[in-house]
Amino acid sequence: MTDPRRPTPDAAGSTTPPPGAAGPGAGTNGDESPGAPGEAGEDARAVTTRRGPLPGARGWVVVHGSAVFAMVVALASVGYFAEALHYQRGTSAQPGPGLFPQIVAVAMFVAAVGTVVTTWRTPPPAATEGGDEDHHPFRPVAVVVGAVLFVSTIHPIGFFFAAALALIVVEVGMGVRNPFRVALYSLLLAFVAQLLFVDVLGLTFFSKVHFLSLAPFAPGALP
Amino acid sequence: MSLGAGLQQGIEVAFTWQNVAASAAGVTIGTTFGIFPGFGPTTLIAILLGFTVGLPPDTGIIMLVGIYFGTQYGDSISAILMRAPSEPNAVMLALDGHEIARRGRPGPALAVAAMGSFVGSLVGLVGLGLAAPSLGHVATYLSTADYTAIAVFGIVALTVVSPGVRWRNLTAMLLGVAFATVGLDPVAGIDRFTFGNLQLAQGIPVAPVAIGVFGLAEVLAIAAGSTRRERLRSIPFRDIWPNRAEVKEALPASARGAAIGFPLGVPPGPTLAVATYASHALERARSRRRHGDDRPAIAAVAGPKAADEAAVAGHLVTMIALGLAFSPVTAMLLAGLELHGIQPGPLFISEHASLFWGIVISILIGSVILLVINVPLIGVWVQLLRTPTPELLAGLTVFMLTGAYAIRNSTFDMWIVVVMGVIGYVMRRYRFPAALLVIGLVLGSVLEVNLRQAMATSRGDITTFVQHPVSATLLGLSVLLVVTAPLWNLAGRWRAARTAARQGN
Repeated sequence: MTDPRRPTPDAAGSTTPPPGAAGPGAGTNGDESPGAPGEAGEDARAVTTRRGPLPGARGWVVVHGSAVFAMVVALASVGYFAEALHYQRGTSAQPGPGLFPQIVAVAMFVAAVGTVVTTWRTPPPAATEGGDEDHHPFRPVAVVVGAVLFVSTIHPIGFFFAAALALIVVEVGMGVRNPFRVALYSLLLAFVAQLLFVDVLGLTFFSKVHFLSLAPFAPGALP
Repeated sequence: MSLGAGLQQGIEVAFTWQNVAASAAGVTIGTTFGIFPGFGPTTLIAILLGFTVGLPPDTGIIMLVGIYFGTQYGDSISAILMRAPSEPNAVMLALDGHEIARRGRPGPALAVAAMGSFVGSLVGLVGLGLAAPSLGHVATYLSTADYTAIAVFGIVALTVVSPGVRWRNLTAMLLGVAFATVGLDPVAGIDRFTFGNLQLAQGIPVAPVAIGVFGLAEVLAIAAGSTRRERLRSIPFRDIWPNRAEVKEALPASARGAAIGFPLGVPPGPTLAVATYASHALERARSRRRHGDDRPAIAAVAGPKAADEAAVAGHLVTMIALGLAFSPVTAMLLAGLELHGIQPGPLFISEHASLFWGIVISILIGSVILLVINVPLIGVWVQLLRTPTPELLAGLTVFMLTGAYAIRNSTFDMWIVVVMGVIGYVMRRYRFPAALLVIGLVLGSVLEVNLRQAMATSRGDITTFVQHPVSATLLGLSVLLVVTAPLWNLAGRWRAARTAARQGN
């Protein structure tokens, strides 16, 4: 018997999961809201089912990831509450700037603890949580590194070079190994982005580097 | 202002060549990016918000509306052809739509979706034109206690009714509310949670947060998964058009879908997906009654699509009249309006009548352009799906960061995008609804300001919230939702047990 949540090959030979699998009516487990449509963006790309829990520390983090995240939120809410104590609470007739954050902090702590408890009580969803075979943990890191590089270098080295650098980092991190392809696409995309944002929309940066930009030659910029 | 006069004013605004061009560009850009699985309307509006920054307010907003329609249609393409919808409301299209495509009629399925979208928009814009001014007028009489109750009801309804585990929904929502308290205190005027950072004193703006949570987080999620995409066969121009029987089936279904969608879209809550689900269930039941079997029905493509568009118009009524967003898409559109210095709310229609009616007419222009230009180009959109994923993701990362910079010429906003992107990605990975964080950010400040003002006005009398009929009703409904939530769980378990027992037999 086939698992209804497993991807099924269709006529075009593609393997995409059944969207209804986690769609309407899917959430009937414990605290999940029943009958409401599922998060399609996430669930429609639901990953291949894997039998049994993941091994070792990574498995523990994947299975209990939401509890770990909730614990971080609980800790953050304690810090947030401590900071909120520095602001006046005021009176009921004149609530001060500290009152609302303190209420939010307490509610956030309760919600986070509730999440931890329900996660531990619910059977581990190791079979589908997070993605297995297709999961590439270092690719998102490459995208974040590329983004950080772009933001931190945009002013010192100019838009074109910062964009090209970020594009190269992301493409290589995403597994593109052909240097010609990386160079071609990076320079092309950086040029298009510069053309659109700097030359057409008129964005300005602190950098004096205007490599391949038409901005310094714009009528207003000419001496 | 009468509906006729308003529409005439809207036509004058929307039918300038700049605005028609902006609408066409928006629709085309939206469809171009929207066909890629994972990039739904919310994500793409977040990514492409920066494109509209340098434009005049009316042109920029009309372009945003165009982008929205384009991405909606692009999402339909990926839902129908690849069974990979990007947003919950497109899931229903992927059921019958993909089955019809698999059986050799992908073109008509896509064309009928566009037809449903057109009918839904048409009904939606009439509803928007009629309901928003009335609700806006009513909203001028609402007190701060009423606004407090509206925000509370929005938070409770979205937490309880949204899919997923409610504790996680609440955690996500409250994270957003907590972010809303950062910056200058709106009443006392002192810095809170800024730790001496001057840029934080201005608060955490919605647009970069949304770009991070929807846009960058989506890029990270796609990067973490498989980057392989199937190669789809091209659809020749002659194979796009539905036959007469299909049109005859689709048109009334679209009308029914729109009639269901608009009223469901007006109340706060995650009603977009509910509207498409209701329309799909209705069309499936009708088809089963008519044919006596479970064959895929073209009506079950047109109906949900029309319901979706009309429900979004319903959401717009609430957003424009009250200035509050209760769905990710309207949160993005609200951020777009604020970006152009426009604050929706009870006085929006009277103060910006030409812009409001311009938006109404631009919905019509967007859907006409979609029908006339984009449907015949279905083959071209399918070809675009051959763009390699690494380059696409790399390009989008640079584009969205630059777009965030464009909002205030601030590198700080780019950092917000990066941080929120990482938070959004972690939340998605562990099934916390990141969209609720953005909505919490929007509702949080509304809740705090109105709560404090209501308490101050009533001299600390907490019964003020039950003395006003609107606030009393909404707070009563909120309590009812919270109290009945465990009963829903029991009903869900009972249904699951009954289904399991049936399958066992």
